[in-house]
Amino acid sequence: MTTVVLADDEVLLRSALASLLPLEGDITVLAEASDGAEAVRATLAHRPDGLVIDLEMPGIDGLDAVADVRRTLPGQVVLMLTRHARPDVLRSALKLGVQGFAGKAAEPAHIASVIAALHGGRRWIDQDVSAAAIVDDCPLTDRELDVLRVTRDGYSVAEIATRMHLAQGTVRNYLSSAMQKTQTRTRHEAARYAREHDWL
Amino acid sequence: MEARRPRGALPPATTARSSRRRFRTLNLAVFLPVLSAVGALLVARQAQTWQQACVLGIGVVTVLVAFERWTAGDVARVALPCLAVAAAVWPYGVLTLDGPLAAAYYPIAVVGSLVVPRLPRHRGAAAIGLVAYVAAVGLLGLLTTTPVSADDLVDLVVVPTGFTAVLTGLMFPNERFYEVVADIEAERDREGELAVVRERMRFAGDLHDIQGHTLHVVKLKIALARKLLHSDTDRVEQELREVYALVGDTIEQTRELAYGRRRLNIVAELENAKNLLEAAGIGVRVDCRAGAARSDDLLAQVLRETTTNILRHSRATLVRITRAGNSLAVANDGADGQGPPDLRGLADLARRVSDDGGELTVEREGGWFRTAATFPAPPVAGDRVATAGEAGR
Repeated sequence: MTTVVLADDEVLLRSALASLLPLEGDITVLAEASDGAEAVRATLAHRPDGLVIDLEMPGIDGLDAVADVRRTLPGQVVLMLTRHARPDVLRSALKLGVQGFAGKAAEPAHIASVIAALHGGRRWIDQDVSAAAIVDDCPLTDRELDVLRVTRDGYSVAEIATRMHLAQGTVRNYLSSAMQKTQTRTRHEAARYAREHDWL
Repeated sequence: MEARRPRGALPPATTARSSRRRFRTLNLAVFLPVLSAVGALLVARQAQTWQQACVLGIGVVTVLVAFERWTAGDVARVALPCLAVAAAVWPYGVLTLDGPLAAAYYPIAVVGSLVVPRLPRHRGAAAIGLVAYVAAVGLLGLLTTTPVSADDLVDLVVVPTGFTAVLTGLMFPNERFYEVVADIEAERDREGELAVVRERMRFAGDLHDIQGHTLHVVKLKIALARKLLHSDTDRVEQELREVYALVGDTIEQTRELAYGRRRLNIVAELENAKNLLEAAGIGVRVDCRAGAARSDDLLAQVLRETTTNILRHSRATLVRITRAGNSLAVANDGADGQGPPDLRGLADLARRVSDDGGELTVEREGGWFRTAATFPAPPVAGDRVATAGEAGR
Protein backbone atom coordinates (compact mmCIF):
# COMPACT_ATOMS: atom_id res chain seq x y z
CA MET A 1 0.00 0.00 0.00
CA THR A 2 1.21 3.48 -0.85
CA THR A 3 0.23 6.45 1.27
CA VAL A 4 0.02 9.93 -0.18
CA VAL A 5 -0.80 13.50 0.75
CA LEU A 6 -2.70 15.28 -1.99
CA ALA A 7 -2.24 19.03 -2.41
CA ASP A 8 -4.18 21.00 -4.99
CA ASP A 9 -6.04 24.29 -4.70
CA GLU A 10 -8.68 23.20 -7.20
CA VAL A 11 -11.24 21.47 -4.99
CA LEU A 12 -13.08 19.67 -7.76
CA LEU A 13 -9.94 18.15 -9.21
CA ARG A 14 -8.51 17.30 -5.82
CA SER A 15 -11.60 15.55 -4.55
CA ALA A 16 -12.02 13.67 -7.84
CA LEU A 17 -8.42 12.50 -7.64
CA ALA A 18 -8.80 11.64 -3.95
CA SER A 19 -11.77 9.42 -4.76
CA LEU A 20 -10.27 7.88 -7.88
CA LEU A 21 -6.70 7.11 -6.74
CA PRO A 22 -7.72 4.51 -4.14
CA LEU A 23 -9.93 2.89 -6.80
CA GLU A 24 -7.17 2.81 -9.42
CA GLY A 25 -4.30 1.51 -7.36
CA ASP A 26 -3.31 0.43 -3.90
CA ILE A 27 -3.19 4.00 -2.68
CA THR A 28 -4.41 5.60 0.55
CA VAL A 29 -4.88 9.35 0.70
CA LEU A 30 -3.80 10.36 4.21
CA ALA A 31 -4.64 14.03 3.91
CA GLU A 32 -5.66 16.69 1.43
CA ALA A 33 -4.30 20.22 1.33
CA SER A 34 -5.57 23.24 -0.56
CA ASP A 35 -2.41 25.34 -0.57
CA GLY A 36 1.34 25.08 -0.21
CA ALA A 37 1.55 25.87 3.49
CA GLU A 38 -1.09 23.30 4.32
CA ALA A 39 0.71 20.75 2.12
CA VAL A 40 3.92 21.27 4.08
CA ARG A 41 2.12 20.89 7.42
CA ALA A 42 0.24 17.77 6.28
CA THR A 43 3.37 16.14 4.86
CA LEU A 44 5.40 16.76 7.99
CA ALA A 45 2.55 15.51 10.17
CA HIS A 46 1.65 12.37 8.20
CA ARG A 47 4.99 11.43 6.63
CA PRO A 48 3.39 9.87 3.53
CA ASP A 49 5.20 7.63 1.04
CA GLY A 50 4.54 10.26 -1.60
CA LEU A 51 3.51 13.89 -1.77
CA VAL A 52 1.33 14.57 -4.80
CA ILE A 53 1.33 18.29 -5.25
CA ASP A 54 -0.01 20.74 -7.78
CA LEU A 55 2.58 23.11 -9.11
CA GLU A 56 0.33 26.10 -9.59
CA MET A 57 -1.16 27.17 -6.28
CA PRO A 58 -1.76 30.57 -4.72
CA GLY A 59 0.55 31.77 -1.98
CA ILE A 60 3.28 29.19 -1.48
CA ASP A 61 3.33 27.32 -4.79
CA GLY A 62 4.28 23.71 -5.36
CA LEU A 63 7.99 24.39 -5.83
CA ASP A 64 8.32 26.43 -2.63
CA ALA A 65 6.33 23.87 -0.67
CA VAL A 66 8.58 21.06 -1.92
CA ALA A 67 11.68 23.06 -1.01
CA ASP A 68 10.18 23.53 2.48
CA VAL A 69 9.36 19.87 2.92
CA ARG A 70 12.81 18.81 1.77
CA ARG A 71 14.48 20.86 4.45
CA THR A 72 12.98 18.50 7.05
CA LEU A 73 12.49 15.37 4.93
CA PRO A 74 15.28 15.38 2.34
CA GLY A 75 14.25 12.01 0.94
CA GLN A 76 10.54 12.76 0.52
CA VAL A 77 9.18 11.30 -2.72
CA VAL A 78 7.33 13.99 -4.66
CA LEU A 79 5.08 13.76 -7.68
CA MET A 80 4.41 17.15 -9.13
CA LEU A 81 1.28 17.67 -11.16
CA THR A 82 1.04 20.53 -13.59
CA ARG A 83 -1.50 21.96 -15.95
CA HIS A 84 1.21 23.32 -18.12
CA ALA A 85 4.34 24.29 -16.31
CA ARG A 86 6.30 27.26 -17.51
CA PRO A 87 9.20 25.56 -19.27
CA ASP A 88 11.82 26.64 -16.77
CA VAL A 89 9.80 25.17 -13.88
CA LEU A 90 10.71 21.60 -14.77
CA ARG A 91 14.35 22.61 -14.54
CA SER A 92 13.85 24.10 -11.07
CA ALA A 93 11.87 21.05 -9.96
CA LEU A 94 14.60 18.69 -11.16
CA LYS A 95 17.15 20.78 -9.27
CA LEU A 96 15.04 20.32 -6.14
CA GLY A 97 15.17 16.57 -6.74
CA VAL A 98 11.48 16.13 -7.56
CA GLN A 99 11.22 12.54 -8.79
CA GLY A 100 7.98 12.70 -10.72
CA PHE A 101 6.37 15.13 -13.06
CA ALA A 102 3.01 14.44 -14.67
CA GLY A 103 0.38 16.43 -16.51
CA LYS A 104 -2.75 17.20 -14.56
CA ALA A 105 -4.89 16.07 -17.46
CA ALA A 106 -3.41 12.58 -17.27
CA GLU A 107 -5.65 9.61 -16.54
CA PRO A 108 -6.04 8.89 -12.82
CA ALA A 109 -4.88 5.33 -13.60
CA HIS A 110 -1.68 6.75 -15.07
CA ILE A 111 -1.13 8.97 -12.02
CA ALA A 112 -1.67 5.97 -9.76
CA SER A 113 0.89 3.91 -11.67
CA VAL A 114 3.37 6.78 -11.57
CA ILE A 115 2.93 7.03 -7.78
CA ALA A 116 3.63 3.30 -7.53
CA ALA A 117 6.73 3.62 -9.72
CA LEU A 118 8.08 6.54 -7.68
CA HIS A 119 7.44 4.60 -4.49
CA GLY A 120 9.52 1.81 -6.05
CA GLY A 121 12.45 4.22 -6.31
CA ARG A 122 12.07 5.14 -9.96
CA ARG A 123 11.80 8.52 -11.58
CA TRP A 124 9.04 9.55 -13.94
CA ILE A 125 8.62 12.51 -16.23
CA ASP A 126 5.76 12.60 -18.67
CA GLN A 127 6.94 12.79 -22.26
CA ASP A 128 4.80 15.83 -23.04
CA VAL A 129 6.03 17.71 -19.97
CA SER A 130 9.69 17.23 -20.83
CA ALA A 131 9.07 17.77 -24.54
CA ALA A 132 7.36 21.06 -23.71
CA ALA A 133 10.33 22.08 -21.59
CA ILE A 134 12.64 21.38 -24.52
CA VAL A 135 10.46 22.90 -27.22
CA ASP A 136 9.24 25.94 -25.36
CA ASP A 137 12.02 26.95 -23.04
CA CYS A 138 14.21 29.94 -23.68
CA PRO A 139 17.65 28.64 -24.63
CA LEU A 140 19.30 32.01 -24.16
CA THR A 141 21.22 32.91 -21.03
CA ASP A 142 20.33 36.00 -18.99
CA ARG A 143 23.35 37.82 -20.34
CA GLU A 144 22.43 37.01 -23.94
CA LEU A 145 18.92 38.28 -23.29
CA ASP A 146 20.29 41.50 -21.78
CA VAL A 147 22.41 42.08 -24.86
CA LEU A 148 19.45 41.45 -27.18
CA ARG A 149 17.29 43.82 -25.14
CA VAL A 150 19.79 46.62 -25.69
CA THR A 151 20.18 45.61 -29.34
CA ARG A 152 16.47 46.10 -29.79
CA ASP A 153 16.88 49.76 -28.87
CA GLY A 154 19.09 50.16 -31.91
CA TYR A 155 22.50 50.44 -30.27
CA SER A 156 25.72 49.45 -31.98
CA VAL A 157 28.03 46.80 -30.54
CA ALA A 158 30.34 49.49 -29.16
CA GLU A 159 27.45 51.29 -27.49
CA ILE A 160 26.06 48.03 -26.04
CA ALA A 161 29.50 47.28 -24.61
CA THR A 162 29.68 50.71 -22.96
CA ARG A 163 26.18 50.54 -21.57
CA MET A 164 26.59 47.05 -20.15
CA HIS A 165 30.15 47.64 -18.92
CA LEU A 166 31.45 44.76 -21.02
CA ALA A 167 34.27 44.39 -23.49
CA GLN A 168 33.21 44.60 -27.13
CA GLY A 169 34.55 41.10 -27.74
CA THR A 170 32.36 39.75 -24.95
CA VAL A 171 29.30 41.44 -26.43
CA ARG A 172 30.15 39.94 -29.83
CA ASN A 173 30.43 36.50 -28.25
CA TYR A 174 27.02 36.83 -26.57
CA LEU A 175 25.47 38.06 -29.79
CA SER A 176 26.97 35.34 -31.94
CA SER A 177 25.89 32.67 -29.48
CA ALA A 178 22.37 34.15 -29.38
CA MET A 179 22.33 34.25 -33.20
CA GLN A 180 23.42 30.63 -33.37
CA LYS A 181 20.81 29.45 -30.90
CA THR A 182 18.08 31.32 -32.72
CA GLN A 183 19.49 30.41 -36.15
CA THR A 184 19.46 34.01 -37.29
CA ARG A 185 21.97 35.94 -39.32
CA THR A 186 22.01 39.36 -37.71
CA ARG A 187 21.71 40.55 -34.15
CA HIS A 188 18.55 42.44 -35.05
CA GLU A 189 16.94 39.26 -36.38
CA ALA A 190 17.97 37.50 -33.17
CA ALA A 191 16.42 40.28 -31.09
CA ARG A 192 13.22 40.08 -33.13
CA TYR A 193 13.13 36.29 -32.77
CA ALA A 194 13.51 36.59 -29.01
CA ARG A 195 10.86 39.25 -28.89
CA GLU A 196 8.46 37.09 -30.90
CA HIS A 197 8.99 34.27 -28.42
CA ASP A 198 8.31 36.60 -25.48
CA TRP A 199 11.75 36.08 -24.07
CA LEU A 200 12.70 39.72 -23.72
CA MET B 1 -3.40 29.47 -19.75
CA GLU B 2 -1.21 31.63 -17.62
CA ALA B 3 1.80 31.24 -19.86
CA ARG B 4 -0.13 32.82 -22.68
CA ARG B 5 -0.23 36.21 -21.03
CA PRO B 6 1.62 38.58 -23.34
CA ARG B 7 4.72 39.29 -21.39
CA GLY B 8 6.17 41.41 -24.17
CA ALA B 9 3.84 44.34 -23.59
CA LEU B 10 6.31 47.07 -22.79
CA PRO B 11 5.21 50.39 -21.44
CA PRO B 12 4.66 52.12 -24.78
CA ALA B 13 6.98 55.06 -24.28
CA THR B 14 10.07 53.07 -23.33
CA THR B 15 11.86 53.18 -26.65
CA ALA B 16 10.79 56.74 -27.37
CA ARG B 17 12.29 57.80 -24.07
CA SER B 18 15.49 55.95 -24.72
CA SER B 19 16.02 57.68 -28.06
CA ARG B 20 15.26 61.03 -26.46
CA ARG B 21 18.03 60.31 -23.97
CA ARG B 22 20.43 59.55 -26.77
CA PHE B 23 19.60 62.74 -28.62
CA ARG B 24 20.06 64.65 -25.37
CA THR B 25 23.52 63.22 -24.80
CA LEU B 26 24.45 63.90 -28.39
CA ASN B 27 23.14 67.48 -28.34
CA LEU B 28 24.82 68.26 -25.03
CA ALA B 29 28.13 66.84 -26.23
CA VAL B 30 28.10 68.63 -29.56
CA PHE B 31 26.31 71.93 -29.05
CA LEU B 32 26.83 72.86 -25.41
CA PRO B 33 30.58 73.48 -25.91
CA VAL B 34 29.87 75.44 -29.10
CA LEU B 35 27.23 77.61 -27.46
CA SER B 36 29.40 78.33 -24.42
CA ALA B 37 32.53 79.00 -26.46
CA VAL B 38 30.72 81.38 -28.84
CA GLY B 39 29.06 83.15 -25.88
CA ALA B 40 32.31 83.50 -23.95
CA LEU B 41 34.14 84.77 -27.03
CA LEU B 42 31.48 87.38 -27.77
CA VAL B 43 31.40 88.63 -24.18
CA ALA B 44 35.19 88.77 -23.99
CA ARG B 45 35.48 90.75 -27.23
CA GLN B 46 32.50 93.07 -26.91
CA ALA B 47 32.17 93.95 -23.20
CA GLN B 48 33.96 97.17 -22.38
CA THR B 49 33.38 97.34 -18.63
CA TRP B 50 33.11 94.73 -15.89
CA GLN B 51 29.45 95.59 -15.45
CA GLN B 52 28.78 94.89 -19.14
CA ALA B 53 30.75 91.65 -18.93
CA CYS B 54 28.58 90.60 -15.98
CA VAL B 55 25.26 91.35 -17.66
CA LEU B 56 26.28 89.78 -20.99
CA GLY B 57 27.72 86.83 -19.08
CA ILE B 58 24.32 86.32 -17.40
CA GLY B 59 22.84 86.32 -20.90
CA VAL B 60 25.20 83.52 -21.98
CA VAL B 61 24.39 81.50 -18.85
CA THR B 62 20.69 81.90 -19.67
CA VAL B 63 21.39 80.43 -23.12
CA LEU B 64 23.15 77.41 -21.59
CA VAL B 65 20.39 76.81 -19.03
CA ALA B 66 17.69 77.05 -21.70
CA PHE B 67 19.64 74.73 -24.00
CA GLU B 68 20.25 72.15 -21.28
CA ARG B 69 16.53 72.06 -20.42
CA TRP B 70 15.69 72.01 -24.14
CA THR B 71 17.69 68.81 -24.66
CA ALA B 72 15.75 67.30 -21.75
CA GLY B 73 12.48 68.25 -23.48
CA ASP B 74 11.69 70.48 -20.55
CA VAL B 75 12.33 73.99 -21.86
CA ALA B 76 8.81 75.15 -20.98
CA ARG B 77 9.66 75.17 -17.28
CA VAL B 78 12.47 77.70 -17.63
CA ALA B 79 11.07 79.50 -20.67
CA LEU B 80 9.69 82.56 -18.89
CA PRO B 81 12.67 83.48 -16.70
CA CYS B 82 15.14 82.72 -19.49
CA LEU B 83 13.21 84.76 -22.03
CA ALA B 84 12.88 87.62 -19.54
CA VAL B 85 16.61 87.73 -18.82
CA ALA B 86 17.57 87.36 -22.48
CA ALA B 87 15.03 90.00 -23.48
CA ALA B 88 16.47 92.40 -20.90
CA VAL B 89 20.07 91.83 -21.98
CA TRP B 90 19.34 92.97 -25.55
CA PRO B 91 18.12 96.56 -24.77
CA TYR B 92 20.85 96.82 -22.11
CA GLY B 93 23.42 96.06 -24.78
CA VAL B 94 21.83 98.43 -27.28
CA LEU B 95 21.89 101.30 -24.82
CA THR B 96 25.29 100.76 -23.20
CA LEU B 97 27.52 98.98 -25.69
CA ASP B 98 29.66 100.97 -27.99
CA GLY B 99 30.58 98.90 -31.02
CA PRO B 100 29.57 95.36 -32.08
CA LEU B 101 26.40 94.08 -30.39
CA ALA B 102 26.38 90.32 -31.10
CA ALA B 103 26.89 89.46 -27.41
CA ALA B 104 23.68 91.36 -26.57
CA TYR B 105 21.26 89.75 -29.08
CA TYR B 106 22.86 86.32 -28.94
CA PRO B 107 20.86 85.33 -25.79
CA ILE B 108 17.44 86.47 -27.02
CA ALA B 109 17.98 84.92 -30.46
CA VAL B 110 19.05 81.51 -29.10
CA VAL B 111 16.62 81.31 -26.18
CA GLY B 112 13.77 82.54 -28.38
CA SER B 113 14.52 80.00 -31.10
CA LEU B 114 14.61 77.22 -28.52
CA VAL B 115 11.37 78.23 -26.81
CA VAL B 116 9.12 79.34 -29.67
CA PRO B 117 8.98 76.12 -31.76
CA ARG B 118 8.18 74.16 -28.59
CA LEU B 119 5.18 76.27 -27.63
CA PRO B 120 1.96 74.30 -27.49
CA ARG B 121 0.17 76.80 -29.78
CA HIS B 122 0.44 80.24 -31.42
CA ARG B 123 3.94 79.37 -32.55
CA GLY B 124 3.77 81.50 -35.68
CA ALA B 125 2.55 84.57 -33.77
CA ALA B 126 5.19 84.02 -31.10
CA ALA B 127 7.92 83.78 -33.74
CA ILE B 128 6.77 87.04 -35.34
CA GLY B 129 6.57 88.67 -31.89
CA LEU B 130 10.10 87.56 -31.06
CA VAL B 131 11.55 88.91 -34.29
CA ALA B 132 9.51 92.12 -33.94
CA TYR B 133 10.80 92.63 -30.40
CA VAL B 134 14.42 92.27 -31.52
CA ALA B 135 13.78 94.71 -34.37
CA ALA B 136 11.93 97.18 -32.08
CA VAL B 137 14.74 97.29 -29.53
CA GLY B 138 17.20 97.84 -32.38
CA LEU B 139 15.06 100.71 -33.70
CA LEU B 140 14.93 102.18 -30.18
CA GLY B 141 18.72 102.17 -30.13
CA LEU B 142 18.69 103.79 -33.56
CA LEU B 143 16.55 106.66 -32.24
CA THR B 144 19.00 107.40 -29.44
CA THR B 145 21.96 107.65 -31.82
CA THR B 146 22.56 110.80 -33.73
CA PRO B 147 23.39 111.09 -36.50
CA VAL B 148 21.94 107.90 -37.96
CA SER B 149 24.04 106.17 -40.59
CA ALA B 150 23.24 103.19 -42.84
CA ASP B 151 25.85 101.15 -40.94
CA ASP B 152 23.99 101.78 -37.67
CA LEU B 153 20.78 100.57 -39.25
CA VAL B 154 22.49 97.36 -40.33
CA ASP B 155 24.26 96.78 -37.00
CA LEU B 156 21.30 97.60 -34.75
CA VAL B 157 18.29 96.35 -36.67
CA VAL B 158 19.00 94.29 -39.83
CA VAL B 159 21.65 91.86 -38.53
CA PRO B 160 20.08 91.12 -35.08
CA THR B 161 16.60 90.75 -36.57
CA GLY B 162 17.84 88.64 -39.45
CA PHE B 163 19.91 86.41 -37.15
CA THR B 164 16.96 85.84 -34.82
CA ALA B 165 14.57 85.20 -37.71
CA VAL B 166 16.88 82.71 -39.44
CA LEU B 167 17.71 80.85 -36.22
CA THR B 168 14.06 80.58 -35.22
CA GLY B 169 13.11 79.56 -38.74
CA LEU B 170 15.71 76.78 -38.69
CA MET B 171 14.51 75.45 -35.35
CA PHE B 172 11.02 74.74 -36.67
CA PRO B 173 12.08 71.99 -39.10
CA ASN B 174 14.46 70.72 -36.41
CA GLU B 175 11.49 70.30 -34.07
CA ARG B 176 9.60 68.42 -36.81
CA PHE B 177 12.59 66.10 -37.13
CA TYR B 178 12.35 65.11 -33.47
CA GLU B 179 8.63 64.64 -33.80
CA VAL B 180 9.12 62.34 -36.79
CA VAL B 181 11.64 60.26 -34.86
CA ALA B 182 9.28 60.06 -31.89
CA ASP B 183 6.43 59.06 -34.22
CA ILE B 184 8.50 56.29 -35.78
CA GLU B 185 9.37 54.89 -32.38
CA ALA B 186 5.82 55.12 -31.11
CA GLU B 187 4.81 53.34 -34.30
CA ARG B 188 7.24 50.54 -33.57
CA ASP B 189 5.84 50.09 -30.09
CA ARG B 190 2.30 50.14 -31.38
CA GLU B 191 3.14 47.54 -34.01
CA GLY B 192 4.45 45.22 -31.32
CA GLU B 193 1.35 45.69 -29.22
CA LEU B 194 -0.88 45.23 -32.21
CA ALA B 195 0.81 41.93 -33.03
CA VAL B 196 0.20 40.77 -29.45
CA VAL B 197 -3.45 41.85 -29.58
CA ARG B 198 -4.01 40.25 -32.97
CA GLU B 199 -2.47 37.04 -31.73
CA ARG B 200 -4.70 37.12 -28.66
CA MET B 201 -7.80 37.62 -30.83
CA ARG B 202 -6.85 34.76 -33.08
CA PHE B 203 -6.17 32.59 -30.08
CA ALA B 204 -9.50 33.47 -28.46
CA GLY B 205 -11.32 32.62 -31.68
CA ASP B 206 -9.60 29.26 -32.03
CA LEU B 207 -10.17 28.48 -28.38
CA HIS B 208 -13.85 29.19 -28.72
CA ASP B 209 -14.09 27.00 -31.80
CA ILE B 210 -12.52 24.08 -30.00
CA GLN B 211 -14.14 24.35 -26.60
CA GLY B 212 -17.49 25.90 -27.44
CA HIS B 213 -18.45 23.00 -29.64
CA THR B 214 -17.40 20.39 -27.10
CA LEU B 215 -19.17 22.08 -24.21
CA HIS B 216 -22.36 22.20 -26.22
CA VAL B 217 -22.21 18.50 -27.10
CA VAL B 218 -21.26 17.53 -23.54
CA LYS B 219 -24.18 19.49 -22.17
CA LEU B 220 -26.59 17.69 -24.49
CA LYS B 221 -25.11 14.28 -23.74
CA ILE B 222 -25.29 14.83 -19.98
CA ALA B 223 -28.89 16.03 -20.27
CA LEU B 224 -29.63 12.82 -22.13
CA ALA B 225 -27.80 10.71 -19.55
CA ARG B 226 -29.81 12.29 -16.74
CA LYS B 227 -33.07 11.46 -18.51
CA LEU B 228 -31.98 7.85 -19.05
CA LEU B 229 -30.37 7.34 -15.67
CA HIS B 230 -33.17 5.17 -14.30
CA SER B 231 -34.37 3.56 -17.49
CA ASP B 232 -31.37 2.65 -19.65
CA THR B 233 -28.10 2.49 -17.71
CA ASP B 234 -26.25 0.87 -20.63
CA ARG B 235 -27.04 3.85 -22.78
CA VAL B 236 -26.04 6.16 -19.92
CA GLU B 237 -22.71 4.44 -19.66
CA GLN B 238 -22.15 4.76 -23.39
CA GLU B 239 -23.01 8.46 -23.29
CA LEU B 240 -20.65 9.03 -20.39
CA ARG B 241 -17.90 7.14 -22.20
CA GLU B 242 -18.36 9.36 -25.23
CA VAL B 243 -18.35 12.49 -23.08
CA TYR B 244 -15.15 11.33 -21.43
CA ALA B 245 -13.44 10.71 -24.78
CA LEU B 246 -14.68 13.99 -26.21
CA VAL B 247 -13.44 16.01 -23.27
CA GLY B 248 -10.09 14.23 -23.43
CA ASP B 249 -9.77 15.13 -27.11
CA THR B 250 -10.66 18.71 -26.37
CA ILE B 251 -8.06 19.01 -23.64
CA GLU B 252 -5.52 17.64 -26.11
CA GLN B 253 -6.55 20.06 -28.84
CA THR B 254 -6.51 22.98 -26.46
CA ARG B 255 -3.02 22.11 -25.40
CA GLU B 256 -1.93 21.84 -29.02
CA LEU B 257 -3.43 25.24 -29.66
CA ALA B 258 -1.80 26.89 -26.71
CA TYR B 259 1.63 25.34 -26.78
CA GLY B 260 2.06 23.43 -29.99
CA ARG B 261 2.82 26.33 -32.23
CA ARG B 262 6.10 27.45 -30.89
CA ARG B 263 8.75 25.80 -32.96
CA LEU B 264 12.36 26.21 -32.06
CA ASN B 265 15.24 25.06 -34.19
CA ILE B 266 17.32 22.07 -33.21
CA VAL B 267 20.21 24.16 -31.93
CA ALA B 268 17.93 25.91 -29.43
CA GLU B 269 16.34 22.62 -28.45
CA LEU B 270 19.76 21.10 -27.90
CA GLU B 271 20.54 23.94 -25.53
CA ASN B 272 17.26 23.42 -23.66
CA ALA B 273 17.80 19.67 -23.43
CA LYS B 274 21.27 20.28 -22.07
CA ASN B 275 19.96 22.71 -19.43
CA LEU B 276 17.25 20.24 -18.44
CA LEU B 277 19.64 17.32 -18.04
CA GLU B 278 22.10 19.44 -16.12
CA ALA B 279 19.30 20.54 -13.80
CA ALA B 280 18.75 16.86 -13.00
CA GLY B 281 22.40 16.60 -12.04
CA ILE B 282 23.52 14.84 -15.21
CA GLY B 283 26.69 15.95 -16.94
CA VAL B 284 26.26 16.84 -20.62
CA ARG B 285 28.76 17.06 -23.45
CA VAL B 286 27.44 18.51 -26.68
CA ASP B 287 29.35 18.16 -29.91
CA CYS B 288 27.40 20.09 -32.46
CA ARG B 289 28.44 20.70 -36.01
CA ALA B 290 26.12 22.67 -38.22
CA GLY B 291 24.49 20.63 -40.93
CA ALA B 292 21.76 20.65 -43.49
CA ALA B 293 18.36 21.18 -41.94
CA ARG B 294 16.28 18.75 -43.96
CA SER B 295 15.16 16.54 -41.10
CA ASP B 296 15.50 18.99 -38.26
CA ASP B 297 12.02 18.30 -37.07
CA LEU B 298 12.47 14.56 -36.74
CA LEU B 299 15.92 14.97 -35.22
CA ALA B 300 14.36 17.28 -32.66
CA GLN B 301 11.75 14.63 -31.86
CA VAL B 302 14.49 12.05 -31.37
CA LEU B 303 16.24 14.48 -29.06
CA ARG B 304 13.09 15.07 -27.00
CA GLU B 305 12.30 11.39 -26.73
CA THR B 306 15.81 10.42 -25.67
CA THR B 307 16.05 13.29 -23.19
CA THR B 308 12.81 12.20 -21.54
CA ASN B 309 14.07 8.61 -21.35
CA ILE B 310 17.31 9.70 -19.74
CA LEU B 311 15.48 11.87 -17.22
CA ARG B 312 13.43 8.85 -16.21
CA HIS B 313 16.50 6.73 -15.56
CA SER B 314 18.25 8.23 -12.61
CA ARG B 315 21.36 6.16 -13.17
CA ALA B 316 22.77 8.26 -15.98
CA THR B 317 25.53 10.59 -14.84
CA LEU B 318 26.88 11.61 -18.21
CA VAL B 319 25.21 12.24 -21.55
CA ARG B 320 26.96 12.82 -24.83
CA ILE B 321 25.02 14.46 -27.61
CA THR B 322 26.62 14.49 -31.02
CA ARG B 323 25.12 16.24 -33.96
CA ALA B 324 26.82 16.21 -37.32
CA GLY B 325 25.09 17.05 -40.56
CA ASN B 326 22.01 14.89 -40.82
CA SER B 327 22.56 12.71 -37.80
CA LEU B 328 22.02 12.97 -34.11
CA ALA B 329 23.37 10.61 -31.50
CA VAL B 330 22.53 10.65 -27.83
CA ALA B 331 24.51 8.38 -25.54
CA ASN B 332 24.25 8.00 -21.79
CA ASP B 333 26.10 5.92 -19.24
CA GLY B 334 22.91 4.79 -17.49
CA ALA B 335 22.46 1.45 -19.22
CA ASP B 336 22.14 -1.24 -16.59
CA GLY B 337 23.08 -4.08 -18.88
CA GLN B 338 19.93 -6.10 -18.30
CA GLY B 339 17.40 -7.01 -20.94
CA PRO B 340 16.83 -5.43 -24.31
CA PRO B 341 16.72 -1.66 -24.65
CA ASP B 342 13.30 -0.24 -23.86
CA LEU B 343 12.08 0.59 -27.30
CA ARG B 344 8.43 1.22 -26.56
CA GLY B 345 8.63 5.00 -26.87
CA LEU B 346 11.23 4.84 -29.57
CA ALA B 347 9.49 2.26 -31.77
CA ASP B 348 6.97 4.73 -33.09
CA LEU B 349 9.70 7.25 -33.70
CA ALA B 350 11.85 4.64 -35.45
CA ARG B 351 9.00 4.02 -37.87
CA ARG B 352 8.63 7.71 -38.66
CA VAL B 353 12.37 8.10 -39.10
CA SER B 354 12.48 5.23 -41.55
CA ASP B 355 9.43 6.61 -43.38
CA ASP B 356 11.51 9.71 -43.97
CA GLY B 357 14.36 7.63 -45.39
CA GLY B 358 16.45 7.64 -42.25
CA GLU B 359 17.50 5.06 -39.72
CA LEU B 360 17.17 4.95 -35.96
CA THR B 361 19.56 2.69 -34.13
CA VAL B 362 19.55 1.82 -30.47
CA GLU B 363 22.46 -0.01 -28.95
CA ARG B 364 23.90 -0.86 -25.58
CA GLU B 365 27.60 -1.28 -25.09
CA GLY B 366 29.80 -1.29 -22.00
CA GLY B 367 27.31 0.49 -19.77
CA TRP B 368 26.51 3.04 -22.45
CA PHE B 369 23.13 3.35 -24.06
CA ARG B 370 23.22 5.00 -27.44
CA THR B 371 20.39 6.19 -29.66
CA ALA B 372 21.31 7.51 -33.07
CA ALA B 373 19.22 8.81 -35.94
CA THR B 374 20.80 9.23 -39.32
CA PHE B 375 19.28 10.63 -42.46
CA PRO B 376 20.73 10.44 -45.95
CA ALA B 377 22.53 13.58 -47.09
CA PRO B 378 20.19 16.09 -48.68
CA PRO B 379 19.98 15.86 -52.47
CA VAL B 380 22.80 17.55 -54.30
CA ALA B 381 22.11 20.28 -56.84
CA GLY B 382 21.58 17.86 -59.75
CA ASP B 383 18.84 15.88 -57.99
CA ARG B 384 17.14 18.92 -56.61
CA VAL B 385 14.82 19.43 -59.55
CA ALA B 386 13.44 15.92 -59.20
CA THR B 387 13.01 16.05 -55.43
CA ALA B 388 12.23 19.70 -54.93
CA GLY B 389 8.61 19.00 -54.18
CA GLU B 390 9.43 16.42 -51.61
CA ALA B 391 12.25 18.33 -49.96
CA GLY B 392 10.05 21.35 -49.82
CA ARG B 393 12.70 23.85 -48.77
